[in-house]
Amino acid sequence: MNAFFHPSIFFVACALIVWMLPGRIARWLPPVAAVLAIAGVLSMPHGTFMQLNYLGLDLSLGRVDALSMVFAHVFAIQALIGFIFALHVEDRWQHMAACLYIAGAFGCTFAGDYVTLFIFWELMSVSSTFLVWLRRVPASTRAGMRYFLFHVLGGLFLLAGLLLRYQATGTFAFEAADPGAARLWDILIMLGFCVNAAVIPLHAWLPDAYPEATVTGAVFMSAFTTKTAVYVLLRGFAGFEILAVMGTLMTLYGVVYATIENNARRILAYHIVSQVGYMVAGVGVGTAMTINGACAHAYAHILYKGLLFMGAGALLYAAGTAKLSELGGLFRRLPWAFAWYMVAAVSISGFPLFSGFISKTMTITGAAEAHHTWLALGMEVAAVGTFLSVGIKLPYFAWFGRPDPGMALKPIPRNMYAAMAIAGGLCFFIGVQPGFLYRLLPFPVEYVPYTAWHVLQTLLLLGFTGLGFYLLRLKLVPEAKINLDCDYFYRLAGRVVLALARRPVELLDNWWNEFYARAGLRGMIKLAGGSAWFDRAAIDGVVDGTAVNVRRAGKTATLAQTGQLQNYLSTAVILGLIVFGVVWFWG
Amino acid sequence: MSHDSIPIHEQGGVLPAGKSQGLRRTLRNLMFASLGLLVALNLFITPHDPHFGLDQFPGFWALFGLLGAVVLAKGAKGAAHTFLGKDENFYENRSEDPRGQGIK
Repeated sequence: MNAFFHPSIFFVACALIVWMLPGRIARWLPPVAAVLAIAGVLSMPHGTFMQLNYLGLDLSLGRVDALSMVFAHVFAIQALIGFIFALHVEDRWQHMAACLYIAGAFGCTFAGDYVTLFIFWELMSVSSTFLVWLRRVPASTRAGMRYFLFHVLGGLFLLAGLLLRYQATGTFAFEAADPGAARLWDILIMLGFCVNAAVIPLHAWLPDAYPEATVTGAVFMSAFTTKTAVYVLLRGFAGFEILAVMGTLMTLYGVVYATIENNARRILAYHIVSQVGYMVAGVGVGTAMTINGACAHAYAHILYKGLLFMGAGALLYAAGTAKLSELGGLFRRLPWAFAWYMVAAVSISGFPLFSGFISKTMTITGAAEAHHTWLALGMEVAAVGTFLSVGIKLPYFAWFGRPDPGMALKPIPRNMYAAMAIAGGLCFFIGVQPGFLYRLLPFPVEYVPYTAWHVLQTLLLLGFTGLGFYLLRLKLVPEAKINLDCDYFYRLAGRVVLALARRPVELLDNWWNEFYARAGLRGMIKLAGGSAWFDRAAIDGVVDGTAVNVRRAGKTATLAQTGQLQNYLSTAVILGLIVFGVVWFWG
Repeated sequence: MSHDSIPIHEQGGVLPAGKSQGLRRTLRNLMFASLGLLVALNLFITPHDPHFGLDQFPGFWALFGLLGAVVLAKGAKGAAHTFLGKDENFYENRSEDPRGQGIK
């Protein structure tokens, strides 16, 4: 059967059904949607599908080619792994948010025009905000708000760019921009994409929000937001030199912070910045080899990064904290979480036989062969830092390091281990059977990862990184501190805007009070004196209780306006989806 | 719940106390031996296409890895100890909202 079924349909439908069922039953549905999505992606023919004309706009919801296939393939697999990991969660809102989030990611992947892309792009940012908020602790509420505001900013860049572009060129078609003749709208669209790709200095939302998300939500978020952004950058902005430089800086920036961070999930979040840096650099260099490298690395990265977040999430779930300064010595009590974490750790570090080895070296070699020697060297330094912080430091201080602190551990559900086993198995499978992944890539692959030299070079690099850690192990002890990052400036900007907004409001308020006190009040008192007589004499007996009724009505209205942004947002998204669904099927 | 008072043991909590010294020494010697073996192999296995002058010399990537790790660790820790590292409640204490609840 070769037909195009848009995977987003499965996930949106699943979200709507989950909405109506109790959480106990609803949790079994998302894995079914993921299996359907995998089947849909595997049987998908190349071509353009689901084209429709709405309000004079040509929309295309189903552009299927080699590039979109690589991402759809791994998105579908990771959706299944993530939902198995989340199978014990009985909060149906979390499943709904995850379903809509993944629907958004697939929508972006197959979008053939900027309007469709923008709609799904915003669906992703709203639903992922819920994956942060639904942890339901004050810290996550605040972090989710900052996360959401920053993504609104990114969405506005994208919207401004696509509207300007439409005005100038008369088309919303999502095609590659010419690096030699970039216009203002191209830059704006690229900036919007760069926010989601966590390109520095627009990255700080990521290490701010991901560690505060739910244990299972972070697994989804680590896979979809940044990689969807890498996909649209690949599609639209391959060969933009600035991306090559920024990407390499990202690889280094992420590992520096990861080396000093204390919270395990924040260390991993900084490693997303670092690893996505390899992909962004690959996009920027823009040769067939580095584009292949970026795609392959995105594929491998989604699997091992999800597994890393599962391992750290399991620690958080069991021990109640992800801070290395409070963990340690848990090897005897959580050996399987350690084992699967280490599979992901050697994968991200690029050890031979594991997935990072066959994708990372491809990007670096591609950059070197395109004569970007300095960029290639920068990426090698980042590889050293990756192994140092995620491969040795984090597991050493979480599972070894000091005697078991003896804290009570909540038992880890079996479905979590099952998901980790699937992800770990895939990391190993891709590492030993690179042909499986290479066949999916958009360009024919000439690169051979397993040569004697590549293996030896990697072992030398990583082995001596280990020696470096051994010598400095007492210097690298995690400290119970946080580190300033660019979010310092975002928060500062927020306070400045608040202060600026408050001053005129305060001024107006004072002025009004003054006026009211002088002119209004005196008049009012006179009027009141007159009406009091009328009231006492005439009205009271007739319409008694009016005031009480008004107060009651006011209270009902207050209840409807909960003042909780999340309620407004969820209502808006659900209404939006219904409208969109109606247009989709009858448009 | 911090364990700052507990000294960091190299293999703490994992190995039985009596065996730990001997085993630790064996493991360390094993590590040095394998690193030596890798550098020795580098004398015979060299890059098929060196991208810049230095990487054709045996031991280059070993030195690169070691120096990279040391410089990165020292540099990052130095930054954390001077201007990046802040108290865990740094942002909460600066918040306008005295209860630190933010938007609910």
